[in-house]
Amino acid sequence: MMTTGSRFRLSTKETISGYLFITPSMILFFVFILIPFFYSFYLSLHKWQGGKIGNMAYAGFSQYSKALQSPEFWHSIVTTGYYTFTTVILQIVFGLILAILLNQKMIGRTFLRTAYFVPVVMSTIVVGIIWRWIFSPDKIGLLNSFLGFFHIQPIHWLTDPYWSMPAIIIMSTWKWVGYHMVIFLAGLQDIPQELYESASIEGANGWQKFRYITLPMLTKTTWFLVITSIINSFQVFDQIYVMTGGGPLDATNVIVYYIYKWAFQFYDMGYASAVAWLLFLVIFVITLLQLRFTRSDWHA
Amino acid sequence: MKNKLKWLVIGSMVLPSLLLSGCGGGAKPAANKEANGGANSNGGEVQNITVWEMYGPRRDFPKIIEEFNKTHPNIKVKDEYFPSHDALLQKVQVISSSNQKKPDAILYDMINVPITKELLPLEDLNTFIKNDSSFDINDFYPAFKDFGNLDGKQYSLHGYANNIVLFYNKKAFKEAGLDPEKPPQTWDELVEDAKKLTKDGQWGLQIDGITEKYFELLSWDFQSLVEENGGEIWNKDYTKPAFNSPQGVEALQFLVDLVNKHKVTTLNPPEKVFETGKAAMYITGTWMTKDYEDSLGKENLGAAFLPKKVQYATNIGGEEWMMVKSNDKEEQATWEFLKYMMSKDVQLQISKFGYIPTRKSVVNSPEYQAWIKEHPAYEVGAKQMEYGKYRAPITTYLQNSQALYKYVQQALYGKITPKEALDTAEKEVTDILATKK
Repeated sequence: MMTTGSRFRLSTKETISGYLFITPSMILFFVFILIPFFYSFYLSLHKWQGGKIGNMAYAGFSQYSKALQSPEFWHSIVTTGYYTFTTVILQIVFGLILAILLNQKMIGRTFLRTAYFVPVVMSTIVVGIIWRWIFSPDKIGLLNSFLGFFHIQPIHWLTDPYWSMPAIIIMSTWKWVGYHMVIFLAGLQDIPQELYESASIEGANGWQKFRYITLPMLTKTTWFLVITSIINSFQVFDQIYVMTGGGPLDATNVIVYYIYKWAFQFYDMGYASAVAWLLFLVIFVITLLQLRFTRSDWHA
Repeated sequence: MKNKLKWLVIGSMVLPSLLLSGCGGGAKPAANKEANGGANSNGGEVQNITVWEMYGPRRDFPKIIEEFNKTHPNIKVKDEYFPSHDALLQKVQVISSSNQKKPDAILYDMINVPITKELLPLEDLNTFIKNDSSFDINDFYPAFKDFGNLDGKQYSLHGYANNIVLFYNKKAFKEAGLDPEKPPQTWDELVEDAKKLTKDGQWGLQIDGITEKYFELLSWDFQSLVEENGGEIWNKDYTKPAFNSPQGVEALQFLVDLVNKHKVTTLNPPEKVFETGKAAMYITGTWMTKDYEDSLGKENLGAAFLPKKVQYATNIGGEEWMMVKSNDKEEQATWEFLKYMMSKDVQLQISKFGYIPTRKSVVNSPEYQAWIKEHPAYEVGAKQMEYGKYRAPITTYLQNSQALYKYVQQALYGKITPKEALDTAEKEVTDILATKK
């Protein structure tokens, strides 16, 4: 809200009611986000002494150096990077293709848009259990019996260290592509029709219109999706928890699952908090870099 | 506007207090009130007790509790079920560091008893056993009372037991020309039969630890193999790992060979591999007996001792009851409940799911004898008990098990040799024991 000029200044009464309106959400924010946020930093400076989870001693930054020296930690970073890089590209490419297709005038457009969006609102746990069956390694698995039509041997999706991550990526792409589609659709509808009309008059073909009008006009939308989906992908957990449990052979042991294991299977909250803060730093730096690189584009 | 503002003020004052009361501090008075309970129809006071459980034969638990509440009008049991031992231990960990009311009784994997004893104030059950003539502790098989007996106190008692057996599909045996009444008894016979049973669409032998995500399964399957081969997992007082022996390496090599050399076991089994007849033999715990009987049919389900190399061996499991300290009245009510849960009637009921009774009087009862005569697959686990071994009763058991699981799995996938796997696992277990004394 603008506060320049006395005409816009709020009366005291309105100020009070304004604060009252935000009180409930601020309390929730403090209790469930801000306090745990700083408390986890406090925990990350401590070392678990065994027994009760609260049984900790001050350990300075030793938990951080323990993480940085742990091959398992670096492995989980690499795994997360693999997941993020692949998923983000696939989600954006397929989301864009779907959006362009469903932006055409066609019968059943609303139904299809809804259908593609349904997985987004479904619980990941439910979706994960369904996909476990789809990925069943024998010929009874839906995906394998489909591949069987093309004479492809059954793939051991979730139990083969080589295939388990691609399986998770396929499932995540399927689940989130609808979200990307909807955002792209909004972006597409913001592009003025005049641009296409004048391009047609100039004699541009379909590809040229896409390359020189649609894509540049979607830059903002695309960057928004890239940033948010990188942040989301870095925090992937539910799928892994339901479908592979980080295995086989740690092939899907992503960073958040690694944190979960240390916090809730080994009960070492100090170490888990330290790794969580390292994850926070990584995401923070990535976001800063992205903002820096994209700012100039936005004003172009 | 004024009216709205008034409601806002009230709302914003009430909401935070509601929120805060939800987070710990305020919950205490409510819990106490509940524990003191109200009056029942007989005029006596009703004692409420809370039970946290990971009860194996899940399907029967509500019925059993209902029956208890009906026959004990002065006690009301509130049942809180957890989907896994892991999840229950998490909750125990959290509540141990909070001021909230603790549960009165806990039931889960026996292996969690030592750590639970560290976390919660557990009552010595001997104080009740001594004064209660209706409960005979000597009716329990020695092994089942010894495990919960730490530093001279009885912290827990076995509600029911289980162990690992070899299930097999009699129909598959007949089809392969094998005698369905003669399951393999040695490792060599196991491999030989498994080879004959392996064909397109059917695996000769599967092992639950390979399929399941829960680390403990593969770890305890492996521990049994080492013991079948005459090896030990620990030294006498559990201060040093002993699995990295020639016997241990040979046992792991055997497991790896089943997959890579004999090709009778797959690392990629389809879902429900034994129930759907895609595995002819399956090594897992007796708790699956009822499920397998339902899906394969009583006439097709066979069970046998785990095949031996040097000796018969199996890993004993089962859930143990523990009582958390509270006040006299509440503890007395909890004791009544525990007594009921370990009674002959309830144990008989549980045994029909494949669990093994822990009391001699149950095993020797005509009802149980008639049941196993009718359903021979249920008897194998009980008979095998005498060859059973216990997992280490130490607080760091689960961490050690995780380490073992990790390297056994790497060996199974051929990333490292069995010798390398056990060398690394031994080093890690030694570290765990050193840092968390």
